[in-house]
Amino acid sequence: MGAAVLSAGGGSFPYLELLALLEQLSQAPPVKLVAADCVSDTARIALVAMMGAPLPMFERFADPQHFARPVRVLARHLKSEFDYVMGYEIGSMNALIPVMVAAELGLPLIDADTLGRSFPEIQMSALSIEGVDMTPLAVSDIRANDIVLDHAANGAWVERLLRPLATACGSILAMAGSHTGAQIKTCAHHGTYSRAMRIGKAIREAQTAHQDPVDALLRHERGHIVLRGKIVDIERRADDGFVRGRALIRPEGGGDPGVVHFQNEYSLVEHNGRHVAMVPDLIALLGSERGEPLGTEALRYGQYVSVLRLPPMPRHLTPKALAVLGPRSFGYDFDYMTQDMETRS
Amino acid sequence: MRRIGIDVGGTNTDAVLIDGSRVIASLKTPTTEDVTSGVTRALKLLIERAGEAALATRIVIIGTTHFVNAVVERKRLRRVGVLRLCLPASASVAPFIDWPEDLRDIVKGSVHLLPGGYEIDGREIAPLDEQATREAAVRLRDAGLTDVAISCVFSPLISEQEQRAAQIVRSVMPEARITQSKDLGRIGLLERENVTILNASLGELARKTTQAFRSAIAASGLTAQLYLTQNDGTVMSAEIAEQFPVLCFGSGPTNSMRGAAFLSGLTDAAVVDVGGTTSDIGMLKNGFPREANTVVQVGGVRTLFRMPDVISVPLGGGTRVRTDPRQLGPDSLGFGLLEHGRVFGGSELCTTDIAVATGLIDLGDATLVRDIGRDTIDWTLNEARRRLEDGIDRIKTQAGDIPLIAVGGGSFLVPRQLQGISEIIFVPHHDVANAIGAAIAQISGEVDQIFRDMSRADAISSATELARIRAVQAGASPGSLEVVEMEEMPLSYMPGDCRRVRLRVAGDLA
Repeated sequence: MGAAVLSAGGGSFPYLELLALLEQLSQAPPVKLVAADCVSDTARIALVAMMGAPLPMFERFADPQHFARPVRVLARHLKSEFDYVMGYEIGSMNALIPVMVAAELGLPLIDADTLGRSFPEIQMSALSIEGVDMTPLAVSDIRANDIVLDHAANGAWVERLLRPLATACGSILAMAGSHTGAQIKTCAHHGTYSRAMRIGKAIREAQTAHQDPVDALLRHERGHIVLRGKIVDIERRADDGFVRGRALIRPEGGGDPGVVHFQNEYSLVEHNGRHVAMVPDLIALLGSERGEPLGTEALRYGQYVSVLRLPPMPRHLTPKALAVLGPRSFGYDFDYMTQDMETRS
Repeated sequence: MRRIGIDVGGTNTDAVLIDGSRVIASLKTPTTEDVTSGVTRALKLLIERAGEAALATRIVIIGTTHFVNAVVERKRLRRVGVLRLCLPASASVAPFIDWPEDLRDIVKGSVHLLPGGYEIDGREIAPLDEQATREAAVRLRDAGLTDVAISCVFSPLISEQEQRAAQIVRSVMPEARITQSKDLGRIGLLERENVTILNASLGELARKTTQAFRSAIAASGLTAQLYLTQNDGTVMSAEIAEQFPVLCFGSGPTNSMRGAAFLSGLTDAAVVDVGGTTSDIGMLKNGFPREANTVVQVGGVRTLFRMPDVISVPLGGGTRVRTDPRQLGPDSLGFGLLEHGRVFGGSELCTTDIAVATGLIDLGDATLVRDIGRDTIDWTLNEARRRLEDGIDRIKTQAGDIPLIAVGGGSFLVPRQLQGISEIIFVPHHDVANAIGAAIAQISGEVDQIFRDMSRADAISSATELARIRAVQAGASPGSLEVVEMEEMPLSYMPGDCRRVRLRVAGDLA
């Protein structure tokens, strides 16, 4: 649930992946979660993710052995075993896949990720932003086609080289990279698994107790509601492999509608002529009644939603990060601005 | 054209005879345990009332909750053998994985995951392994299973493997009843497979029930074609319903909303159906109920059904009224209304008593509720209004006031004015709206498919053509077909110009 909130609309509740994970954990020891600070500088860390499109995952279910495969390939290639598993992206299904891989390999999982949420492209990873070499990387498809990308010029090239491979393999690739404890300590977004679990727990508990889940979430996380109302129009279009569009939300108390823009994830909220939230703010839409996180695909006319702005992670706000994650990277002609510069510490 | 519509509900079996837009006769009889005798009785009474006009009817359309009740009550279900064509993919989430245990214990037979399936671009994940499929079929046969469900990854896109697997199973056991997931198909393997299994499990009951309906028709002296209504307000022939009983699951609310559209002459409006326990509120769009987008669970099993988007509000004719402290429902006297309601000489206060006390309706003995205080009446009616207004606001999709059609036995509880509503329409025959909805049901064809490498316009026209072909195959008259629903979703990260189009056409029976 928390991972779905952190996907910023890039995914909904990862039901199928959760089923697969629970099935796996019923026959394996629990996965140990380790704070990034406790990892030694020389530790070898396998970063994992699903690369491709979400839709095929509704037919081809996430498989622990498949997602652990590129880690094994990379260990063989590097002639060195890994000490930890970590995720690239703490959003929706990509938050659960590292847990699967950790359970499959019997390794501890690091409480961190490299995006701090969901973003659409590999070069938006903190590793790429900080200039850390993301290669070597390994990718595997379900038929045991394995490819090692020994080196790429930069993060954007990784994206460009791997995306066609994902397409060739049914738009689902298991991906793994190799990094050190020192790199993770300096670049990654720390504590993001704990955060996801905190968010999920707050929503679940409020749901069970028939309390307002949105209020409950905001008691646990800094942030605020920027808009609350009913979706009165929705528009989607595809270009450059993205789903872009906007949802018009009429506020509950009346007044002019606000607009939530999305580009796979939610990118900008406009209301009364002002930008009330923008990337890299974490913009999340929750059903007002049940508090269920809503991905862009799940939005429809007539839904009552709360639009939340949760502050970005500290590492999202460095000049280098804003150059890649700020509004201009999403095609807007203004810079990141926020009413309160408060961030999570 | 004359038609008989029958709604076999949990409490009542309603029947109507309509001619064009005119209701010739209507009646209500209690639903019977065996279903058949209730239907036979309803037809007999209808013919008695309408005489010759009824006997000349050539089409009988039945809406029933019999199949969905079987799943909910875990009764009359068969054990099912399952083949899933998927390996090496999709093994991590097994069939039946998230079913309620009691239902799984009844339905789960021998389960086999086999090589096969397709990618989203239509290539095979792996070729079908004919030998392994045959061996699995032999094991199903040896386990004594005759009801078989076959699913395959992305079979809604390409169904050849599923069809070939069905041939192989049939060659091993010719008597097998086989459901293929492609026939119930939307994207989402687990949910599609769930529905396929439920369908296979209902095979025997579907055969018996449609046979019973046919016998009831024959016994009544009619020579009529039998159709059953499905979730989307359209019909299928009894032969199709016998193969796909799951398609009847949500027909109850659909029929009442379609009936409301017919009786009022409106195509776009909100509808409230006030029953004994709840008020179901939905929206009509182009004369059809708007469908829910969320996952619909049936008996605790996730499905991908097309079901009307309906909000249930705890307010009905039997809803209990408590005065100390003041509370309206949510419980209802239900069946017990005629025995325990104050106006019928009982001691339990309910909304019907309040309505009688204030003159909204004439029922039972009004002198028995003279003592009810004005403040109790006002509070109850205000609370009822508040619940209806709240429900209407949640179901509305556009700003501005819209008309509301009030149907159902408890519709006297609907006030003459409501916030957000331009006009409230009360219609004659509102208490048999379900049966009328069945009588007027159209026939439809649907497509839900991914189109690649073609423009938006071409994709939509291909989808329309495919949906029309399906509707005509199902018995529609081609000239009457219209697109009633179209949804188009571009797909991210997919190569080429790639979009998913869901489109439905509907028209009159030929």
